Parts: sequence; C-alpha cells; structure tokens
Amino acid sequence: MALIEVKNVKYAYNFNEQDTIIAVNDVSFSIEEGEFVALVGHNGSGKSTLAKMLNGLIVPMSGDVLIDGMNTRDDDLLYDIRRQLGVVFQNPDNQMVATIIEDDIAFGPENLGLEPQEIEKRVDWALNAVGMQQYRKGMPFRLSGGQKQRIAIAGVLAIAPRVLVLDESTSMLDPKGRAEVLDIIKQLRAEQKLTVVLITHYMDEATEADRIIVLNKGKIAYEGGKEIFLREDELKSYGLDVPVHIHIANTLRKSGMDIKNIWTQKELEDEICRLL
Amino acid sequence: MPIIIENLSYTYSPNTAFSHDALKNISLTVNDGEYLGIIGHTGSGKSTFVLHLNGLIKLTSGKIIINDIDLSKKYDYKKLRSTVGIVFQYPEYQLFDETVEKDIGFGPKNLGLSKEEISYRVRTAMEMVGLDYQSIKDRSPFELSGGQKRRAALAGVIAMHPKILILDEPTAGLDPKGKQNILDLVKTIKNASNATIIMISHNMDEINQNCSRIAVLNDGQLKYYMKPEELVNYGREVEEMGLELPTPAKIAQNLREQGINLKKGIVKQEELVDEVIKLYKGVQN
Repeated sequence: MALIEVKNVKYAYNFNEQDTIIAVNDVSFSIEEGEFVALVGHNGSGKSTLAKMLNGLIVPMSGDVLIDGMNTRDDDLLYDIRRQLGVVFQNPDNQMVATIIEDDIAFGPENLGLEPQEIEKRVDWALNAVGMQQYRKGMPFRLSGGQKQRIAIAGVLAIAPRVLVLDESTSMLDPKGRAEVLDIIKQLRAEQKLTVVLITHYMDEATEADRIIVLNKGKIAYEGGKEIFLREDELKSYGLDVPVHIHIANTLRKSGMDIKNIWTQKELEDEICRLL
Repeated sequence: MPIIIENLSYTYSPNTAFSHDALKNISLTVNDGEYLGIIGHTGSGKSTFVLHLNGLIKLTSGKIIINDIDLSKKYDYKKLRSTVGIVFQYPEYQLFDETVEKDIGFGPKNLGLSKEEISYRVRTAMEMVGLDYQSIKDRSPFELSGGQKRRAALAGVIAMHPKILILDEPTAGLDPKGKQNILDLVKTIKNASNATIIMISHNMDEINQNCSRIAVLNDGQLKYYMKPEELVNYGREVEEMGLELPTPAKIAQNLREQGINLKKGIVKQEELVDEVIKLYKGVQN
C-alpha cells in the first residue's frame, strides 16, 4: 500500500441552503514514499481542502484518506497520522506559537512527550536542516517572511514526519523568500528520503516535482509528468499558466528551432546557446 | 497636477535605540496619468513611501506636493484622501460592513455626498470591477469568494474617484488567472478615469506589463527611476538588491554573458523570441 492513499473523497462547504460549493468531488490518488508530487490548481480548485484532509483537519464527507494505512476518520489515530505527515501553511505569521525560535520548534516534540535531551537534539537538527541555527535564540517576529517559513518548516521537521506537505507556503513571500524555501525543499530531498507534497499555483515551482496532479473545479484534470507543460492550451483551460521560460521554448520550437524539451531556465539557455 | 517629492526622509523612532532611517533623501516627480511601478525587497521603504502620499505618515523632512496640496503645510486631510486612494495588501481583510453596498459606499458617505451620488458611485464602481450590482449588493461581504472580496475592496477605493490610485501588491496570493484579472482591471480603471497609478510589486514581470516608469527602492534610497527597458540594463545591480529581473530579461542577460550578441533592453518575451529567431536565421544562412 502507498504511503498516502486518497480514495474517492468528496467535500462540500455549505454556506446556506441555496449556497453549496463542492470543493472536492470524487478525487482519488496515491503517493509513494520518497515521491515529490506537486498538486496544482487555480484558486478554488480544491487544493487547500485536500491539504486539510491529508492530516485530518477535515474529514471527507465520503471516501477515505489513509496515511500509512491509518484512516483519518479514526480520531484515535489522528495523533499518529500527524506524526507521519506535517503541513506548512500559507501565512508565516499564523504558524508561530512561541516568542523564542527554539521554543517554537520545540513545541511539536514536547507535545510528543519526548525526553528533554531528545527534544534538544531534534531542535538542533531541524534548525540546521533549514539553515537557521544562528537565529536559535532570536524572536520570530524579527524575521523576514522567507525566514519565518523556514522556521515553520523546521517546526514540522522536528516531529520527524515522513511526509512534508506545503500548502501554498511560498505564496505570501517575495522572490527571495520563495527561492529560500524551494532550496530547503530540494536540500531535504537530497539528504533524506522525505516525501514532499507541494501545493502551489506557481507553475515554475511545480516543474521541480517528479509528478504533477492538476485539480480543476474539485476534480483531477491531469496526473502525470512534466509533459503537461508542453500543452499550453490545456493548462490554460484549467486556469493555470505555463512558466515563462517554457512558453519561450514552446514558441521558439513553433518558429522552427529544434529546441529539446526543457524544464528549467538553465536548460533553455543551454539549448539556445547550442543552436546559435 | 503632478506629484512632486523633494528630499523626502523619514526615521522611525528617532532619538531612541530603535531609530531606523526608512527613507533617505528621495526626490522624484510623477506625471499626471503615469503608471508608476515601485519595486524593492521587504524593508526597502516602499510602504513608508506610499503611506506619506495620503498623509497616513506625517511628513517630517522634505517636501511633498500632490495636486497642489503642499503636505509640508497645514492642509485639508479630506481633500487629500479623496485625491489619493490606497488599496492596501490583502484589502479583503478590510471589508467590515453588513452589506457589500454599504461597505463600498462607506468612503463616499464620509465625503458627505448625496444619497443619489453615493448610490451612483457604488453601482459604477461595482460594474467596473465586475461585480453584479443587483445580485451582490445586499450580500454580506464575508460571504463572497476570495476573488470577489478583493474586487469589492477595490471598488470601495474606486468609489472615492481618486485622481491618484495607489495599489500595494494588489495581486499577492492570487493564482495566475486572478493576477491577470486584477492587472487588466487596473488598466481598465486607468483608461476610464485617466488616474495616475502607483503600483507596488515584488514581481517585475507584472510591473513590466503596464508601467511607464519604475522606481527601485533599496535600503530607503531611490536607486533607479527609469523606463523598464532602461532598467534591465542594470540587471546584475538589480539582482544584488534581492530583486528578480523579468524572466525574459534574465535569460537575455545570461545569453549575452555566454557571448550571444542580443540587443540591449529586452524586457518582454516576444522581444526575446524575435531576437533569438533573427540570430537563428542568420546562423542558418
């Protein structure tokens, strides 16, 4: 069985009797241990609802979510589920619980009831992992947005989950902050077998993933590799855009240049250099 | 009347241990009907700068003249705020009234306008941002979707009929389609009212689409104030300030450093594509 199994889940928000919005409509997918999956979709496509279902913050109206075989419907398992799967949310300011950074990161492990020495070790390790060791005794409110998100990621890592879910964790950051967070993800992926689910509407971030799931109006519209970026019209019909550098490559190809399929900006530059 | 700013400086908590110079000697003029982009990393002074323009931060050093209102002298706040409208970041968090109609009408009501005029302004503002007046006016603003909320908040500022419209990261947190909708909307507002637009953004791709000039702030100083196609010639300097060039300009810069002879000033993707194809055809022949 896969590490994450989402089976025919459905969820709707009822505002009043006339006003019901079906956010997630019969969605199924699975994610294996060690995978890097991007979950993309326009605003209102259901991505954040799905994220909240992954760690049992909300339970599907029908269907099941299984994390390492544990069903999020079972209240007794929620604690264990959240040890396996940690979520970093959008707003860095809403995720700080303590006034000193090391206390903030220790919050999770403390709640697991770990020994003080073990907590100390995990805080150390997590701060190192996100490159924020020198801020250990600092105060979260003095940090930039990107640094705050790195602390939020460290707080999740300190619980030692197998899956890290980032729910639009870069959307409130400036370009530098976004790059910081993405670099940390890549580094964590390189150093350990962390499974990552990246929820985003920045398509250039999605090009980093191994597999892409596109949500459109609460349903899965596409599931597969990066070749979706070559199909601009299809992506647009889902309310998404092709990253600028891939659009340039696609346009050059149409104009008769023999540009290979590229996914990064560097690859595009190399291709142009090769042909000129 | 243009906006004239001379030697504007501002210090937070002066004469204390926390004293911080947020703006240092800024001078610039914004012409009528201009679409100005302000760009700078977090903490560069962008917000401090625009908060001066409608008097939310009191001028302490230097000179600001907006539409003949001299901010260094005693002036009429109401007149200034009906001239300069600011749409803050995440404006949907500022919706407060019971109905969308009342919320959008709040500003005009405070200007002391007649009921008919207020109603007219609310209707036209809603129309402009693409919210259907009949079906939405009586709803609570909190029941609207995220995108609708942002439009309603924008309508509240538009209903003031400002001559100068300032937008602080109006597209933050939106998906690509939502972003483009807001940028198109700003363009529509500009064309309909010929207002001067000042837009703060982190995103150069976005600023480049419409801005006639860009002001780059770094550490409280005005580093560059020029057209987008001029600014990209200072690519490496801009990147050192923690800013990102528009993707096409970035690619052009890297290709030039690889020895490819691309013309200067490439900002838009069409320009880059045309240039590359021109060179490619040259190689083929």
